[in-house]
This record gives sequence, structure tokens and C-alpha cells, in this order.
Amino acid sequence: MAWLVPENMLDDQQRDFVENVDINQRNVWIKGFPGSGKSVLLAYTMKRIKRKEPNAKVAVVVFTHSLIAMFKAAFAEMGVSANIMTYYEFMDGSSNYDYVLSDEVQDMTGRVLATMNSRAKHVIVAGDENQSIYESDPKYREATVSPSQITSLLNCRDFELGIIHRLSSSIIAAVEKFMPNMNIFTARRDMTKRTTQIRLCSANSAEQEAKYIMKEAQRAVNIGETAAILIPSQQKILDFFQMALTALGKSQWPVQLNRWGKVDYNKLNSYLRTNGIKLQYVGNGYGSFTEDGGKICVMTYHSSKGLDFDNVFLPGLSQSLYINSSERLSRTLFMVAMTRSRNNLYLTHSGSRSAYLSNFAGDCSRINVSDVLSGQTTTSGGGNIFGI
Amino acid sequence: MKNYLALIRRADFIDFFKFGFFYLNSDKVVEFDCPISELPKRDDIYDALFARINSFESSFAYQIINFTKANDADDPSVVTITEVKHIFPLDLEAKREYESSFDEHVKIDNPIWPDAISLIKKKQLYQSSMQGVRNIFNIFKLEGIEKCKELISEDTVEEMLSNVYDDIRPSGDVSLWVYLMRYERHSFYPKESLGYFMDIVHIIVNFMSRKEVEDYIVESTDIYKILATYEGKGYKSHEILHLLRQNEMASGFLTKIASFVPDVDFILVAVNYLKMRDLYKDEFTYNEKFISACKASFGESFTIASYMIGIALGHDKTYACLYESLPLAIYKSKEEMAAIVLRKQEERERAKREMERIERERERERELEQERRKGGKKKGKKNTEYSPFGQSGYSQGRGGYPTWGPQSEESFPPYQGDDQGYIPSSMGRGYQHETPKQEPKTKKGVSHAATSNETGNLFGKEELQEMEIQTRKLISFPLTLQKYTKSGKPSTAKNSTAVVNNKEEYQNFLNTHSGETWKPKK
Repeated sequence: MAWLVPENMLDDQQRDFVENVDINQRNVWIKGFPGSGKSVLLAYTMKRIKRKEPNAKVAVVVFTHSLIAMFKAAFAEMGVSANIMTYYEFMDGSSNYDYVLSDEVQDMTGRVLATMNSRAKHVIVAGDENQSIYESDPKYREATVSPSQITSLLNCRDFELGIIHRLSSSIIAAVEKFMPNMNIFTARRDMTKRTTQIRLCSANSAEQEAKYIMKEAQRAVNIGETAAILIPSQQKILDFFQMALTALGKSQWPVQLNRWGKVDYNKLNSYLRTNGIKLQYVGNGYGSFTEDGGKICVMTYHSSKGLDFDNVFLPGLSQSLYINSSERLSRTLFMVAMTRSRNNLYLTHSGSRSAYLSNFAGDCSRINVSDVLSGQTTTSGGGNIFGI
Repeated sequence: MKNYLALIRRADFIDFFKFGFFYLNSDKVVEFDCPISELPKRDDIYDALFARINSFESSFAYQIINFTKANDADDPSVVTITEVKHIFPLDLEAKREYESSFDEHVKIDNPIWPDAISLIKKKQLYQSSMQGVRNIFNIFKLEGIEKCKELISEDTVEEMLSNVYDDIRPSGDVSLWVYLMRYERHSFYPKESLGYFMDIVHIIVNFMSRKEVEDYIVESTDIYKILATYEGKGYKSHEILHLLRQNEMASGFLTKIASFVPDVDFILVAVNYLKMRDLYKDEFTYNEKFISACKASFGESFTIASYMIGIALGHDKTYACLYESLPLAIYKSKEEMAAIVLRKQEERERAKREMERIERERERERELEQERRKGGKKKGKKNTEYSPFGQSGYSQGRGGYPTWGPQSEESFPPYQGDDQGYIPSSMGRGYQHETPKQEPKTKKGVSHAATSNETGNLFGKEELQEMEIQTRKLISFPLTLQKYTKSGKPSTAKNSTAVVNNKEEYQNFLNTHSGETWKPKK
């Protein structure tokens, strides 16, 4: 990804930021949906700082190691060196900075932000309040910040980006209907922008859902596309694996636990590998995207954040769908999951569908899973209905 | 009093608001004489305003301002912020955007013509597509745009792009070319030549079904099943075409296509188009060898496919390549660009090394910090005392929010945007101190926008209008100096004028004539 795109490639809001926002006057919080260019503006900010103050001491504080790798590659591409660290590393240090630039700020704790503010003259953060999927920090066991806390702790001004470039118009339309209060603006429309096909697939049972998903996902990886099956919880993930194994005519996996008494997904992944199944669990250090011969990835909604795939399958979207005890978090996580898809999004359910699908179900194409699996999809007249 | 509308760019409005005055392009100023509520019916005003609007991306790139001039003789192209009475966004989305990003005191009205954006953007999309065609023909060195237009008319293109803008997928009785151009693959067809043939079957099934269908419907056709038998064999397009022509069961498919599009080889055009669309989906680049080979192999079919690719990519995706191929007069030479690429490569390498060094340093710092923390409180306190940015309001070890202190109030200057003293008097908030002190005659107060012209020369309108003349009066070297008598009159004596060519000469001259009075002659 070219992070420092030339100015003629910026959209109107991004250009407004570059032209009018003075980062030395006041701290800034760049808000915006995924794909709205928050990171691009952080890169611009970095370039601007280095041009005006080559000796300025700058820290880039991010949420995960994968984000460090991403920023490092991007800054190296720009020819700019930067001190990039996780927020844990930042908190372990005591250096002061002229500038701290930080991404995914909505998932950090208040103490981290307060420390940034005290150890830097200027703080520029990026993040989206609608994407906050953690209620507390796992290491510090402190609550993550609310939007108003970000503003007050950093004493910052907001700059909101609303034009989403990464998502297709069909996904944006579905998100707008699912979360109507979001401030999304129309991105450029032209013939080069593809839509994401959203298919609402109705099955007779969870097993049938698993069978259909495996059939379609295997076809996807067989032609070199990426496919991910996203599931709300670990327990449901295990259930899905067992149903998928049954659907593929294999024995179920005898569950093995690791030394901490949790499911050992390494063992599950090697069981799948041994049985020649192109399927793996990804998350919490298990599985890998870089393995040869594309595999279908199964992961939680949480783990999928920040990633995208050609094909995304969301099974189990029935009336009994449970994601989280917090309704706000449930909706956010569901939105994160449905926005991971580039080309095809399959929403599958058995029995009555979840209320989460109600607002945009009318815009989806419908698949009767039972018919597809039994091959009863041919329209009357057989295979030669068009004389072709 | 005269009433005007003007279309200005968002960035210009921000400068206008910030500096208080603005020079408008007089072509873009439209006078009107009806109540604002009647403007939506005034097509003549709409046409005059939008006649020569430049291309833009978002609806909030432009806005319409309404301003008045108290004196009919006043130049309407010089406007002060106090003369602005309304800001009209181009649509409701723009209104929402301005309200979330402009200074919150600024009142944004509803759009005058809510459908303006849709009409303008559709026109621009069409213009961009047709320019894309010209760009492609220029870059590929092709001829025959007119012939292509006979096949796929401009009206068809315009209608198709209107649906693209409105996000309407093709359906019903539209041309097969439209089904081809709008087709998107959402099926798992092989990513090789065979896949394009399956796409073509899908397109034909869409066309005949008069709507876009799911892949399992396509997969149930006999022709698809024939194609499926070729999977994994790595056939090239011409081999697949040959096999189909040999296959009796496939003849119905080929005959059907020929009946839809009798004058051209639809399959060849479609394969070329779909292949190019995939090739250029991320970036459009020109490979002379490849294009020459395509031209030689596919002739007219390639030209038609290029016409469609021009429509699909538009000017936006092709201009970089066109500018390079011309090249533009403002472009750097290839040698200069090669040097820039080399320099950037060096910068990248340097940045990588520097980041590795920073990481090592941070690791050392972390170790030291850990040692320091183990070492006890005293040492730690000493460190924070040397902090150039002051101590954190957060008290380490207690956790929770309430201990974050008021450090930010001292660290950052108050935001002047919230300072009432900075509010221009025309904003109608009625603060006592907003009445301009230099205009004590103003009686009607700042809340009446319609009369705020009477606040007088708040932004020095006369000076603004005369600024051009003034600039001509400014002195510049070489400078003619005039000697003045003790009574203050210009001297008429011999050597009472002198010429100096630069600042130094001027300074020397004044030093050597310190007892006399010399002034620059205007």
C-alpha cells in the first residue's frame, strides 16, 4: 500500500487536513471508519514533521506488533525513519518526545493516553470510536477509553474522515442500514469500483450451513482467493470445526487441551493438515497467513479486525446469535466482521434469521442452501434453457 | 442593494472566513432579484452558476454563497465576510460535512437545488469516461473511435454511467455491451483464459435472463458444462475458441451470440476487455510490446475492447500514463526522474538502518529503565525532575481515571476558535463587544444580517478594491530620489534628483546626504 500518496490522490477531507490542520497549535484526533485514510494522514503528518523539524524526536505508538511491521514498512518506503513501538513498550520507557503519533487509539487505556500527553509536546492520534472492540486492556486490566475521555485526556480537536475508500458501495450501504447514525459520506463512484456480493443463505440446520460454507470456501481457495470463516466465540469455533470435519466425511477431532487447560489449536491445525484439509484456526498466535497453499482461515470476529479477505463467511446468524453481553460491543463486532470482505460476503443462518440482518436483508441476493447442495437449482427445462 | 450568488470552493471559503475578504472570479458571480425561496425554480440562475464548474470529487468541494452589496456600483467580485448572508451546500451530505468540520458558529442552510450534485456528477462521470477513451486511443495509438461509437453509442454510455452513479445494477432490456461492461465476477471461475469464457457464458445468461443471476444457474447450462471439461488443461483463448467451434453441442451458444451481435466477434472483444480490466485493476500502465501484439492478433476486436476499457477507466485512471507518454511540458526529464528514484531508494535504505538503530537504542533504554525502577523511588524521581515537558498528571500505581491532572491546560495554548473575541461581528450572536468600535454610527446591531453592510468598512472594502492600484504605487528599484527644501517643497535646483539601483546604494546615498531631505519619487 502506498501510504504517502501524492496530494492529487487525496480526497477532499484528507486535503483539508493537510492544508488546514495545525498540529502544533493543538493535539489532534483523526477519526474515521476503516479505509477512510487515517493512517495515510498519520504518514503525511510524519513527513510534515520531518520536513519542518528534521531533529524532532517522534514516537509512533501502535496497538499490535503487526501494526508495527506495517508502519515500519510504510515509513521505510517513504524514506522516513521512525521510532515505532507498541503502547506497552511506550509505557515501559520514560523518554520524552516532541511528537507522539498513535493509531487505533480507541483500544488503549486512559493511562496510556495521559502518559502520551505528559511525555510529548504534541500528540496526534488516529482511531475510530465505532470500532472499539475491547472493553478492557488484557495486560493492565484497565478499561479502554471512551470517546469523551480521548478528547478530554488529550485536550484535542477532532478531525473526522467520512469518505470510505476501502469498502465497496454495497457493504457501505449495509453498514449504513445496520448502524444508521454513522457519519459516512459518498466515496467516488465509477466503473472501477467493484461491489461486494452479499448473499443471504438460508439452511435447514447448522450442519447444512457448515457443509455449504466448506463447499464454497474450498472453491475459493482452490482458485487462489482468500477465504475466512468468522465466528463470534471460541466455543462456537470448535463446534464449527467439528461440523466441517463431519461435512467433509472425516472423523471429529478429539479435543486436546494445552498446559493452561485451553483448547490446543496447534494440535487441531496439525490434525487438519494430516487429514489434507485446507482449513486452519488463526488467532492468539495460532495459524499463519503465510503458509503455502492457501487455507481457509477460521477466526473470531475479534481476531479479524484490521484484516480483509476476498470471501468472508459468517455462519450461525440465526435468531439465537450471541456475540457479547454488551449490545454496543455486539453490534460493533458484527460490523467489524461484515466489513472484512472484498468480493463475496456470505451470511448464513438456519431457522429464523437474526434481527441484525433485518435492516439490509432486502438488498442481499438469496440462496436456498438446501437446493444448492441437492443440485435442485436448475430452472425448469433442464440445462439447455437458453439453447446454449 | 443588490443580491448575488457565487459558487466557491470549500478551501477558498475557509480562506475567506479566515482572512475576512475574498476576490471572486467575476464569471462565477450571478446577480438575482427574487426571494431566496424562489431560487429552486430559477433554472436560468442554476445554469449560470454551474455552467463552467470544474470537475470535483465530493459534494462538499463547492458551496454557494449568497452576498449583498449595499451600493449598486460596488464591485461584486470583491466580497467581505460581513456581506455574506447565506451559505448553501450543494446537497444534504455536504451540509452534514460542513456542520461537522467548519467553525461551529457558521450556519449552513439547506441546499437550493438538491439534485444538482447528481446531475453534475453524472455529467462529469460521462466526460471523464469519454476522455478516458481518447487517452487510451492516444496511448495505444489506435484509430476508429467513431466506429466504436456506432456500436456502443454515447447515449448508451451516458445511460449506463448514470446507473453506475446511482448504484443500479443492469437489468431489463439493456444492450449486451452494457451487461458486458458492468459485469463483475463473484463466482469461483478459474483465474486463466478459461475463466473469461465462463464469464462470457455468465454475461450471456444475464443478458438473456434480463438480470444478473447467481453462478449456480450459469453452472447448470450445457455450455458451462462443456467449458468445465477443459479445466486444469491450461488452454489459451484461441485454443478454447477452436475447441468450441469444433464441438457440436457448443454451436448453439456461438450461433446465439452471433445473432445478438452480428457485426463483430463478441467473444474476442469480451475476452480482450475482461483481460485488460483485470490487468489494469490496480494501476494502468503501458506496455508497448504487449499492446502491439494485441493489435496484431485481434485487430478490430482489440480496438472495441480498448474503447470499453477507456470508458471503464476514465480519465482519472489513465491521465498519469497519458501525461508520461506526451510528455507534459511541466514534467521532469527521464534522467531527472531516474535520479529521483535512485535518491528515494537511498533514503529508504537509510531509513531502514536508522529504524534498526532506534530499536536497539530503545531496547537499551528499556533495560536501563527496568534497572532504574528496581533501584528505588529516589532515582526515578530525579529523572522526572529533568523532564522538559513537566510531570505527568497521572500518579503511577494508583490506576483509574480520576488522577489525570490538569496538565493539559498548561501544556497547550487555549484554542482561539472558542474565544468570543475572535468571532466576526456578522455571525449574529449578539455579544455586546462585537459592535465594531470603529463604527459607532451602527445602530441596528449585529444580529440583522441584512443590514450588516452598514457596519461599514470593517474589512476596508475600498482599500481592497484599490489594492491593485496601490501595488503599482509601491516603490521598487531602481529608485528615483527627490530632494526637498527646508520648507518641505520639492527642490527644483540642479542635482535635486538622483537614482539608486539597490538597497545598498540607497542606504549609502542617505548616509552621504544626511543633512538633506531626500524622499523616493512616486
